[in-house]
Amino acid sequence: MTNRPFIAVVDDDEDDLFLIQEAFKSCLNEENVILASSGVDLLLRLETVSILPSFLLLDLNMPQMSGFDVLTRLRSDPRYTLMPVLIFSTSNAQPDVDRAYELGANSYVKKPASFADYKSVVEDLCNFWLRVASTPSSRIY
Amino acid sequence: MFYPLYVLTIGADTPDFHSLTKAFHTYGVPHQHVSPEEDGSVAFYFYKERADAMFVPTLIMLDNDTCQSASVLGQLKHHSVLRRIPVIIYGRHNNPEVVTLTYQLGAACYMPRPDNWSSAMMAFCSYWQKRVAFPAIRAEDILL
Repeated sequence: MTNRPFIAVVDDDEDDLFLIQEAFKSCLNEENVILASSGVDLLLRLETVSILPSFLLLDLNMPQMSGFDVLTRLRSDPRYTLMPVLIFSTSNAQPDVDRAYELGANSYVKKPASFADYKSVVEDLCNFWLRVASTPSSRIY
Repeated sequence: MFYPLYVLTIGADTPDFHSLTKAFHTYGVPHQHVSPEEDGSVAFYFYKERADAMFVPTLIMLDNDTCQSASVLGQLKHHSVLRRIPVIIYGRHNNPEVVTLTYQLGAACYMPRPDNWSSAMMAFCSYWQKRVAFPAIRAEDILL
């Protein structure tokens, strides 16, 4: 578990993707993030990697394939069942939270409302998932 | 308004557990504890209706070194509502087999037991207390 960590992110909003990428660059001091603009894009990119991401940040509200659809696909595929999936959504709807956990999300993270908060959210994500927790793929020591 | 962090810990009453409890107090994390000796731990907690309206856990932490994590997780994951509660398993090991098994069992996360719970609690709370939304668990839904 000493591989360099990498993170996967799925979000159909280009601005959000850019902010998340910049926040991870700042947090990890390196560019080690797979950015996908849709669930289909993510599934294609996962085919090209040899180890699981340390975690996946998954938006919920996306056209064609929603975050719930992506989560269902990942949990039904033996290759990806162990990958931590963190829902990253602006939705405040409790039924969305409940459904995410029901489908096997590892946690549900509130997407920040302001751009300035992205960095601190990503820092908190990295500090816990990469420095406190262990995942089946990789961990920073 | 999301449900707040309420932690149910399951594990033996050890000095390490006291450190964890102290760290919870320091960071203002509401928590309750079930000993693995208590008649099936999770079943005991919910059968005895300790999960009342005042304290319904939204996060469960299992001490892998002092309780049967697989058994407890099995109970939780077979319950229609309790299965939603994220479960963190923590323990002294950090080898790939243990970590992988934990996630295979359906845990939300594996945490190697920290040397110092007070230090680890800052990162723990910055994530679970500040950033995470929890499932809606009602007391009447969770009695086994």
